[in-house]
Order: sequence, then structure tokens, then C-alpha cells
Amino acid sequence: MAKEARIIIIEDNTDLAEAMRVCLESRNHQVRIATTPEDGLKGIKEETPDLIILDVMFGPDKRTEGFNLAQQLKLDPGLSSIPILMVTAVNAEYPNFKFSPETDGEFLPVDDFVNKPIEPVELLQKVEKLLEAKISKWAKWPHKRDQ
Amino acid sequence: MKEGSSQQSQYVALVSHHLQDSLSAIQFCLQLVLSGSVGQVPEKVKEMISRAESQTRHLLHFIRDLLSLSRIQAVRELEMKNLSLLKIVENVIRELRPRASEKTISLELKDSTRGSPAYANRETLEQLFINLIVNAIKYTNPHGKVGVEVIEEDECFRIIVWDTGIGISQSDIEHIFDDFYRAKNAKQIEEKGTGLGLSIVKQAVDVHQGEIWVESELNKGSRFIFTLPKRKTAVALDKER
Repeated sequence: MAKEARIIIIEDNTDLAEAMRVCLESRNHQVRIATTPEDGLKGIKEETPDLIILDVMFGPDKRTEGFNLAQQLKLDPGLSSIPILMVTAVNAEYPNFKFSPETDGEFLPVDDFVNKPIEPVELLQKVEKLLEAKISKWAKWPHKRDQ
Repeated sequence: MKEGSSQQSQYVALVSHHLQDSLSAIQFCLQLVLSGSVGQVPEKVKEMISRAESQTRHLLHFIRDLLSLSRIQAVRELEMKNLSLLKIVENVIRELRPRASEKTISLELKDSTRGSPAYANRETLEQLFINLIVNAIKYTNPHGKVGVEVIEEDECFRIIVWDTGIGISQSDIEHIFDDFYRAKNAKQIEEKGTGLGLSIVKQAVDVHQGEIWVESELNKGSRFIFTLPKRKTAVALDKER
């Protein structure tokens, strides 16, 4: 089991974010929350986390700003190695479409996805797996994917 | 009209995302409580929370189906291309085989095509097959059978999704494709279905200019039969409009 880690959740639904915090803190992780991509980036630069949990959609008009932030992080050599777990609701609209790091990593360099509605057990399993991996497989995106 | 429909579809999508967001948060919190992560919960409280969690799950399915229906209804000019109907069916069957196996239901495919492509929208067709086959599995008892037969005719493909399940009464058949309609015996199997699954199927067939109908007998099984025109016919039909 991965030891306690610093995790930042970037999610604009504060109730969901706080519930995820409770879930992750039950495994002794230290969790911060940011409700916008801008605040998230600021928080990441202030204190480098071991893992980023990043929502896709933000704001009342549900713009996919999470995509932009993921790409921005991977283009920053100081931040690109941090694994990203993306929270997506795409499956509500396209139930047969599932993002996959293998097929979508060319434009969406995140390490794994968790689909809403999230289940606590699934969240913990995916977080555990990414913490054990330690380094993002897209650390050298877009030029090369780390093996 | 087209622009209005597209705007409506976007609006429904936006509203659905908002609803889904909140419901996801509710469900996560309820599951967290049920898991014991925030402390021990008395049995009676656990039962009530479990019921609440089940209702949120139902609402989430409902929103998903509503989105699918809205998308198909609004976007009358879906991106159509030549594609292999058989490959789509094979992929859907592969995805659903574990679900059928859980109920020890055999899932069969019979291919009577000559290899011609269908002119269709991939996502809509996948949704169509998923809905029909999931329904067939849901309403078939363990050790029963579900199958798909794809037949190529001169002007169209004829697809049959059949099962040896509970069947549909003649009075229900008339309404089976109506929004929110649920057959009486279906409610005994699954109390909380959305009633949109077959509406989605009908819309999906309609946008491909096909036809769909049902043959069924109570306690013996059902056959959902639909046609998909081949490209030439679809284009010709378009010109007639």
C-alpha cells in the first residue's frame, strides 16, 4: 500500500470534493482542494503534490477546462511528472465511449480516468495504483510517452 | 428548425451535466457512509441510506437515457458513414457477454451478410444494439438464450434481436416504444427502469430511415426486428424528402 501522500483535488463541486477528501484522508493522505483550474495550478506550484485529481468540466456552462490544465501541466517540465487522475462525466453523454490513457493520451495526457458517478472503492484503488507508479507516464508529452 | 433542435440538445446536455454532477456527489457521500468510512451506522439507518443511494443511481441512469434520447432526436443529420454492421454487433456482444454469463444466458450471433457496409452513425447504432441486447438479457431468465441475427437483403439489412424471455403482451406491444412506457411484467423484473431504452432504440432506427417492430409471446420470448437501409436507398430516400 502506498504511504501517505499529498493529493490535490481540483473540482468545482465542493460537496463532492469534500467527500473525496474524507475518503482519501481515511487512508492518511493529505488532501487540498481547489475549485478552479487557476487555483489548482497555483496550489500545485506552491506545494508539489504526489497526485492530482482533476475534473474535466468547470463552471456553469461546463467548459472542458480540465483538458487544458492537464496539457498545461504536462508542458511544464517542473510539473509534468506528477500523475493525474481525471474525473470525467463524458460517459453520461456517450455511454459507449470511455476515455483510455492508451488511446486518448495523445491529446489528453492523464494517467487514468474515473467516471462519474465515482465510487469510493474505485477512487481509492485508482489513487493507490497511481501513487505506486510515482511518475506520470506522460511526463515527456507530447514528444514521448514514458514506458 | 435544425438550429433550434441543436440548441435544445445542447441545453439538455448542459442541464443533464449539472444534474449528474449533483447526483454524483450525493451518491458518493451515501456510499461513503454505507462503507463505514465515516463511522459505524445503525442497521435501520443503513437501510434507509441504501434506499436513497439506489434512487440516486436510478436518477443517474434516467439522465443518461434522457441525454441519449435528446441527442438522437435533436441531431437529425448525424454523421453517417459506411461501416461494418457486423463489427459493431460483435463489439457490443463482446462487451455484454459477461453480463449474460452472470445469468448463465447464452448470447449468440448469426451472420447472414455478404459483407456490404451499412450507411450509419456508429455511436447511435452501438447505443441501439446495447439497449436491445441489455433488455433481452434483463428480461430473460437464467439458462435462457439471447441472440442477434443480421441478414443482408437487396435494399437493406434486417436485424433480429431475439430472446427466450418473459415476452410482451399484445396490449403492451402497442406502446412499447413510447417514452417512459414500461410493460406490466417488466416492472416485476426491474421495478425502477427508466422507460426510455426502447424510445432510444426507435429514435435510432428512425434517424437511419429504418423500421422496427416486435413479435412476442408471453413467457416464450420476443423478437425485435428492424431494418437499416443500405447507402443507396438512404440517399434516395433523402432526395425524396
